[in-house]
Amino acid sequence: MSAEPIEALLGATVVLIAIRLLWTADAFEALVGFMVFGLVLSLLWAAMGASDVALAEVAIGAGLSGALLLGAGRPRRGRADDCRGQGGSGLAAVPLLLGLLGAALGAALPVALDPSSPAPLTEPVRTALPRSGVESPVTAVLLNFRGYDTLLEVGVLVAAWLGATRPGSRPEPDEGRFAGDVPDLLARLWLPLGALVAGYVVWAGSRWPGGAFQSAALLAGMAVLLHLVGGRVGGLPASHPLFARLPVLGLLVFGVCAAAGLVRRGHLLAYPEGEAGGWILVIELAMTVSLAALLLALYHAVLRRRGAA
Amino acid sequence: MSGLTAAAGALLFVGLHGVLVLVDPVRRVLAANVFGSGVLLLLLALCRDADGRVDPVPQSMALTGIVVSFAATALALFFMRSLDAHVDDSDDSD
Repeated sequence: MSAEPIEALLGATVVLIAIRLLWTADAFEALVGFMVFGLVLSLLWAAMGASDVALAEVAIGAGLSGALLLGAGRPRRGRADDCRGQGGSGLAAVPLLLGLLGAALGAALPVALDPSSPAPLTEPVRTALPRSGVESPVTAVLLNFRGYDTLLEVGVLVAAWLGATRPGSRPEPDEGRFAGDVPDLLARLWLPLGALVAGYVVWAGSRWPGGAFQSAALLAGMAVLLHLVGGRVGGLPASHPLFARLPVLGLLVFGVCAAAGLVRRGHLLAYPEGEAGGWILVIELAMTVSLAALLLALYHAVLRRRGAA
Repeated sequence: MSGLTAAAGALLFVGLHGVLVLVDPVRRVLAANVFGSGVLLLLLALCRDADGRVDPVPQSMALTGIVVSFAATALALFFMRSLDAHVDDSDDSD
């Protein structure tokens, strides 16, 4: 297969970046290294043909996690010594050896398993696709065949958000931290474009790679950018509590649609025959807004200061 | 295919080693993320058909995994910062 050398090269690069970012002596390099790790990993997903995973990885794994880590993972005052004693040689010997051991075991795995067995679920998904209401197999799995998983995933995000919410905390001082002419101009250029792309990604999700998760990650990234340049949404700061109410919207809409299936078809999340496409679109739109708000709320919750203002 | 499972194996070992031995909490979180990426890579690398296409079901699972690991990262960083603030407080009162 022609893509194999590229995959092997990207795979090796990802492993070397991982070792470097974990064992470098420089705390800042570790954070930037993690963002590079996410970017190269998303290239690897793209090379493998997993475009949906690549989109999510680049927006969440590299972008949003990076913004969060740069905000929360800065070396703390008087604690710089935490970062010492990590070897400091960049590519430490023990992790490198362990990496080689893991690589050897990993390479032996496909040999140990039956290499001739095909991926067992590709065919069932393709057969059921015409009845799913969408044309993209990944969207069909996420919102029709395995809708439960997606519903519970939103539940996991809500749980994490509740866990990271403290009453009486105030927004972190990062708001408008990068305000200035150049970031302002960049934000003005990027935000409308990003919003447009996010809208396209959720719409395209029914036919091509894309969907609620990827679009929500993009929207959340745009909101973080807006927050950092001190921008406002309809006169409200991006960290306004009103936007913190949005996360429950998607769960509500998803729950109502699931219950509608229970009433009309006798079990949860069963879409009426022939109407699945419309139901999925409604859920996807609500989920996009809700997931974007959840990701953003998590970002703000982590960076919040303690105590009442 | 074995090239990718080799990379996945390496990520799993390096990530787990990092979670166990690193001192800095931020790096432990990063190591847990590296481990998680190894899991996703192993899952997708093992679920390809003869033409190299990735099975859509594990692909959806990987997509879900990325979002959930972001939530886990955020929660871990939140706990880390809460712990720091707590320690700072008791330092001040001494």
